[in-house]
Amino acid sequence: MTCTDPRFAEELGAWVLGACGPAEADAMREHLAACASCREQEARLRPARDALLAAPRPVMPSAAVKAAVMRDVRREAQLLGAARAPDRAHPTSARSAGRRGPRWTSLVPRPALALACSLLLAGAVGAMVVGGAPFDRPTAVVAEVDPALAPRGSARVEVRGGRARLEADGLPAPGRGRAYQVWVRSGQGAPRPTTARFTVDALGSATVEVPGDADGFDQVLVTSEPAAGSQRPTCAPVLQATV
Amino acid sequence: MALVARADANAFEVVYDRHCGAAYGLAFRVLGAQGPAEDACQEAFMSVWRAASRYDARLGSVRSWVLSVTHNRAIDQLRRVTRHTDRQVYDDTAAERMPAAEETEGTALRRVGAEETRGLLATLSSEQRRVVELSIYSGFSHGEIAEALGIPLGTVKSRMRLALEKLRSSMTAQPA
Repeated sequence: MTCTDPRFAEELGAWVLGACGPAEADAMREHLAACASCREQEARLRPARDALLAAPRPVMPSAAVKAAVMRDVRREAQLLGAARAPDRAHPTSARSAGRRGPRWTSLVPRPALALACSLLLAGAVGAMVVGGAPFDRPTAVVAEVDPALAPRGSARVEVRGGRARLEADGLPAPGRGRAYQVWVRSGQGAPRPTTARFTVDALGSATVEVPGDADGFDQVLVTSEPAAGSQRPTCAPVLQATV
Repeated sequence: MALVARADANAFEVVYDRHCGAAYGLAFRVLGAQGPAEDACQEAFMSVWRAASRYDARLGSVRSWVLSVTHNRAIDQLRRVTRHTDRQVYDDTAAERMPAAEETEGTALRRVGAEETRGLLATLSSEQRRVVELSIYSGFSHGEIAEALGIPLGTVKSRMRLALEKLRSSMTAQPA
C-alpha cells in the first residue's frame, strides 16, 4: 500500500521531527487521518524520533519544580473530586433547563464545576493574601470548555505581573485554513479581538500569551476562526475563563 | 496512567519521579538554561496530568509520550523567547573548538548534550545530522533550515526522511 500523493510522503520526515510549518502541519494532520500508508510510515519512523528525544543525558530538576507541580496537581485533584461528587445542594438552574439566553452567556457552568472554579479562585486569592505580596503572585483560573466542541479539552488562564497566559490541552485541531483566536471581554461588553491566534499540537495542547494588560479585561474567550482572524466571533466559544 | 487519568495525584507523582530526569534533560538540551528548562518541564508535566486520559499505549511508552510533551513545551518556549530571525543556528562544532575557559554553562552543557546525541547520530551523514539537530533540538522548521543553510526546501525534507530511516535501521540492527 503506497500513498497516492508524493507530497505527503516527502513531508513525513519533517512531520515526525516536528519541523513542518503550521500550514503543512495542518495538511499532514488531515492527510494522516485518511491515509493508512502514511500512518504506517509514521509509525515506522516514530521510534527514531523517540530515541532522539531520549538521547540527552537525564538531569534532575530542582526540588522546587516537583513542589510546584505537585501543589497544583493535588489542588486540581481535590477540585475534581469535589466536582464529581453528587451535587444535591444546587438544583438545575432555569437556564440550563432550556431557557434560551444570549449566545455569549450560553455556556452556563455546571453547578459543581462552578463550585470548583470558585474554590480554585478562592485558593488563589487566599494564597495572595497569606503570602503578603498580593499583586506579585500568579493567579490561575480553570477555563470553562464547551464539551460539544472539545469533549476532552481543558484549559486554564494564568495571570502574572499584569499579563495573562492561556494553557490548553485536549483541544481538537481548528481545521484546515483555520486557527483558534483569543478574545477578551469586559463585563457585558462585546468580545474584543486580539492578535493572538494559535493552533494545537498532536495532543491538542497550546500555550499562548493573551495580548494586553490583564487589568483591561475580565474574560478570556477562544473561538475557531479563519486563519487570518476575525473582527467579530463567527461561532460559539470553545472555551472561556473569567479572570 | 489509567490511575492518573482518574485524577490520582499519588499515581501521577510516581510518573513524575520516574520521568522528570529525562524530561528536564531534554528541555535543557533545547533551551540551554535552568530557568526556562524548569518552566518547560513544569508546564509539560501539568499537561501530562491534565491530558492523561489521552495517552494511548499503542502509540508508544509513557516515557516517549512525556518526552514528546516536554519537547513541544520546550520548543514553544524557545520560539516565544526568540524570533526565528534572531535565533542563531547553533553550531555544535564551534562550541567544541571553544577553549573551555570561555564556555558559558549553557554552551558547555549543550556541548555535552550534543556529544551524547552525536553517538546516536553517528550513522548519519553530516548534512543529515545537521538538519535533524536543527529541527529536533533547536526547533527550526524545515523552511527556516532551508533558508539558514541556503539549500532547497526539498533537500531538507529529503535529508530529514532519509535520516530517520537510517536511524531506524541502525536501531533495529543493534544487538539485543
